[in-house]
Amino acid sequence: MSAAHDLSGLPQAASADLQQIVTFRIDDRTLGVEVEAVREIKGWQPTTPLPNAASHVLGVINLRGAIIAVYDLRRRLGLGPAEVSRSSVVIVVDLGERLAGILVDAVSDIIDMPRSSFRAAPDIAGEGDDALKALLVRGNDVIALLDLSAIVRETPI
Amino acid sequence: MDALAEIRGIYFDECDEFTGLLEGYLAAMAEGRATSEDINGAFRAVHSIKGGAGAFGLSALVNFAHRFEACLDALRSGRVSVHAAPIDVLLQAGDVLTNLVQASRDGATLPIDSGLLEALEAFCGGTPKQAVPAEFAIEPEPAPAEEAAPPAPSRRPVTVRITPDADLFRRAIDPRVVFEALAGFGALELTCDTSAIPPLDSLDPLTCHLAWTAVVNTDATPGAIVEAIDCFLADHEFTVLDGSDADHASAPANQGDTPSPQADAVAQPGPAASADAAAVAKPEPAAVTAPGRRAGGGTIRVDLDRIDKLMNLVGEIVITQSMLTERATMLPKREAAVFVDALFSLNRQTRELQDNVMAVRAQPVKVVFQRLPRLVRELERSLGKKAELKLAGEDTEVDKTIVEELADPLIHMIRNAMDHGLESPEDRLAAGKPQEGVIRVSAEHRGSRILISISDDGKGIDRDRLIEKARSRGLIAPDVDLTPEEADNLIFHPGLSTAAKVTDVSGRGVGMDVVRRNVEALGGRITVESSPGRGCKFTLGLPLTLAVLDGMIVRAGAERFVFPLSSIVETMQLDSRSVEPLPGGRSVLRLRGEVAPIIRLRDLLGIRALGNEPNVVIVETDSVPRLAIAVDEIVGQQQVVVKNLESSFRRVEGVSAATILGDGLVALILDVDALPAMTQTSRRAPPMTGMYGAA
Repeated sequence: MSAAHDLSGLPQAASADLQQIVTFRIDDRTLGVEVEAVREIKGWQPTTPLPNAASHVLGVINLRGAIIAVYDLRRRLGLGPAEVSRSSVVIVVDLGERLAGILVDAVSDIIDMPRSSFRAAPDIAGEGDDALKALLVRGNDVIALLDLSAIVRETPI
Repeated sequence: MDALAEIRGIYFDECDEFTGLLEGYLAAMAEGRATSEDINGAFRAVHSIKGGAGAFGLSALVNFAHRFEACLDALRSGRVSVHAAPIDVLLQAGDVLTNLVQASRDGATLPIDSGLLEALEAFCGGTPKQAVPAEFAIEPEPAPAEEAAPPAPSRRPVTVRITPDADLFRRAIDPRVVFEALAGFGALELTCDTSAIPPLDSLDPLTCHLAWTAVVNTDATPGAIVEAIDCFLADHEFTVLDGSDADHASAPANQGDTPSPQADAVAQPGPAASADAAAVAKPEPAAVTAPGRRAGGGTIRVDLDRIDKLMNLVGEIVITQSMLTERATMLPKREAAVFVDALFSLNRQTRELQDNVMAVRAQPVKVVFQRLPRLVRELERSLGKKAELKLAGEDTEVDKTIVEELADPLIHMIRNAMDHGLESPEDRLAAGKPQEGVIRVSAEHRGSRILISISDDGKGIDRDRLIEKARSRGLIAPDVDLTPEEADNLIFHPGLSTAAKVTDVSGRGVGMDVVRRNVEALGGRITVESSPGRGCKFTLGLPLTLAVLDGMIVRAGAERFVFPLSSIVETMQLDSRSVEPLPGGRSVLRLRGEVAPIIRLRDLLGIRALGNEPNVVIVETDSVPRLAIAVDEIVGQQQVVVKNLESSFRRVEGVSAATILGDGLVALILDVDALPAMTQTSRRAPPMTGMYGAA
């Protein structure tokens, strides 16, 4: 767990102390990923399910000729299966060796966050907690920064 | 030095090509159908290997290649008639050269049979001494044929003038590589002539305005130095002067565009050949190839990745086009007519584009076939048998990946044919056959597949032995009678090998079953026909490419899946009267006297659906000869573009790859051989999260 809380690995924003974060909502929670990891944001399209995959693996889609796997973030965070609506979007993220899609309810914003606002995620063994990399404090809001490699992991550690 | 290591790698890759070509030329000579083109080609191949070997200081390789080359030169110049040439010696020399290249690549040493060396010397022994180019006398132990060459020179300065063409950098030649090669001979003193550099505002950084004078303090001959750098520079771009006094420079003997085999031997022929300041030109083949390469015609080397990208793009066009075709059916009739016409042209053009891109990736099977003569010769030696190899259809082209995958099965089957198929010379005579057996390997196109057959005129498959073995191992019941075909097919059964004793050639029991598995993994089939006492023939049918696949699209629940057509035996409607329930909830399908286990695709893959599946696909798998897979619908047959799933997700059990169908949605291509094993676990598997796909 401690590795997931290490903030030194965060990508550097152009401005030395600011990190751009793409935020989105699930219920009343605000979550975010670093803007550098986001390739594109696209509408929902039906997935082709994969046999014997973990429950948060929705299946694969065709992204302009490439095949990418799509993950249900709600399920991964222990919030029950997602219900696809008009505002549902898939955030296509770059995991380094491959692309992946993450299904979220809606995208909210792109914000600049000073690094000084980053806090270590609480080390509580709740379902989905290992998927958080850090908590960003913004006024009265707390934004949970996702650990993408943990999101796509099929067996939670 | 990294650049040098890379060039070394390229050199060895090229050596593989050269040894392959050489094999073909030598085979032509052995069969008595060699033209002067074949002899020249053989000479060039050996010469090119030698040239590079000199550059990398592989002296053993240089030495041997040189002796071999001298013999080929004797043939080329007509001093020795091809018909009088001891072909065995040449063939053996070809094999040794290939082994030497391999050993040099691995940094190993290889003892060379002195008998062969003597035979090679004897071959060109009667030739006039001056015919052997003096520049070849670079080896530490000169061959007797080169006695006329000057004794090994002592350490003295040798001047190399390098005056590269303006396009040096564009040819991707880094002059440092040349300097490094020169520095390998001894202390290097380098001066750069910068006088030709234009003012900064008119300077093109990609144009070479530099010239160098290098003085190496070495005991190497000028020839060795030429050989070390002539792979980087064209003939007219450098001059090697023995002695530091540049005034003795004479013009390069060979201006590149007018190569003449006689003129290139030594710049100043006759007694002056060993004079101090002899300017040495390079031998003719390098001069021929170098200008040719720059002429811009002919061939280019292209990174495979680029072709793969092109192939992917074509795949996407095919998908987009099938999407359009689907949409066209929804249009009102009047508009549809124009649209369909245009689609028809697009269809044809896409097909053509696809064929052309595939043709770029295609390679003739010759690449693999040309390794076979050597294999047969080696086996002749180790098995004490005689065989003539007859190749046909070497120019048949197939995708590069298939060509690569073809080598192992072919080599295996040739070994089998030599070891198990062909009898010993005595047995053959006793059976009224010629002493020398015949192994035929042929390739031809048949539709969208390539057929490769390997046949021998040996004793055929020993059916009784196979059956006896299969019985003793409990593979077949003692009371079951097999047809001759069924008995022959036991040869593909894992763990059966008919060799009475285990040899190092074959007979470890991992024979034809491995070949079959590899062939089937490529979407191919292998069959055998045997006739006792007369021989045996294996036929391989392979797809022409792995990038597209002929598939049968089926539906289970809301999901569509693709079966490779190659694994399907038949499809039919499921007749409940031929279903036989078994205790434990499973059932089998009666199929013309056989039984096939029935599995439901939806159970196997955890798809939620209701109702009974009305259709069944009968497939052939590794472990279960007939497996009936119940599906909801058989949608149709279609060519699909294969997309790797492992790189975009991970390996998924029961799935070999994915594809994109005409509606833009993804369908999974089933790994039929993995399905039987999945029936054991499918009951415990969680259901697929299929409700999204159903939307």
